[in-house]
Amino acid sequence: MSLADVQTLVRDGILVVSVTGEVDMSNAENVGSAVVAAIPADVRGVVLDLSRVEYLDSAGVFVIQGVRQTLLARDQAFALVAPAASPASATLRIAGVSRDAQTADTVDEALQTLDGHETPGA
Amino acid sequence: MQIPNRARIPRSSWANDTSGRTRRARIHATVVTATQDMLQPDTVRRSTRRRSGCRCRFLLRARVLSRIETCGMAANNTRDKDGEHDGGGEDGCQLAVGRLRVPDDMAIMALHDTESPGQLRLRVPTDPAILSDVRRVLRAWLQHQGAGADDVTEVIIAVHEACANAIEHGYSDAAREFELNALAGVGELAVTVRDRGRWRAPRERNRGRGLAMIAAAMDEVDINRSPAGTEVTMRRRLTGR
Repeated sequence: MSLADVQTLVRDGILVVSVTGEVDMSNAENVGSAVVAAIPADVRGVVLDLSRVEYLDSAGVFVIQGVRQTLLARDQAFALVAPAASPASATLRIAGVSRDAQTADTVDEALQTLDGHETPGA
Repeated sequence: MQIPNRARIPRSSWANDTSGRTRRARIHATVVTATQDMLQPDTVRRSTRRRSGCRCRFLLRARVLSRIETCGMAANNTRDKDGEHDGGGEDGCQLAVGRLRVPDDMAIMALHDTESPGQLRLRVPTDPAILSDVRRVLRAWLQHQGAGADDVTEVIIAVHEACANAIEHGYSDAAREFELNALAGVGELAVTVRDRGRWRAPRERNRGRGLAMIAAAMDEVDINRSPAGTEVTMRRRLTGR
């Protein structure tokens, strides 16, 4: 039985990666690898949806930051979905990860954020 | 009940319960599962009544359920003919867990003293895969103590990070388990996570983040490192929200 699951779908050229379940030190690296492996090089941006994550720990935060860095290095846009009352949001707040423009309450909101994103060659 | 200051908490009431013989005589070991519904107050009362004098209780992973009642009986049968357990409650618990013959007998051992319901004592294997169960047990216990949703969320975040550190410390050593002791008072909570592994400086940036999160989620954090292990004591005034 796996603690977490990763699912993807493409919307308007943006890859939406949804993580469900619990992400902690026991599986964070695997979840991070699964997320990165699911991202094609030609997609212009990624929305990482944490709204159905039931638990997120510091190892999970570390992995999310890694995914963000990977995407920025590849000039792919990145947005995080962590609704204000979600468990993931509580962890991010306590970890001192600020809710910036790239953090949204819903996938739709995140997609709108990324629509304003200029991609190279677009 | 007010949570006493660190100096005034008798160690025996926290973890290394080396209670005297008068107390020992009243200790029986009973084994129940760690499924969430077993932690609900109704079920706990029911299972307490099942055997009068029940004082201790194990919380084990559901998948070893079939063995559990057997183990409970085994622990009770170790009482000598005066009805006195020859090793005290925790030894009885250890004994029962030791009799689990499943290959992956990864179990959280919980000592639940019915005379101090505001206290939770866990022994946890140093395996990251157990952390999800630890959070579940802690959540049920905190809710049972009347903690509010925000309190529950943030205390779990802090305690989880302390447990994650304890597991990291245990990796390099033979330390196979660590202890988690929680004490709830009126509007206050104290949790101690104690490992017997060697303290290690955070290997990567991530583990430093864990300690910072503990500090952010709790009102007070004490970290005591010694050759014998690391003890993290966290306190928080409960907001009730």
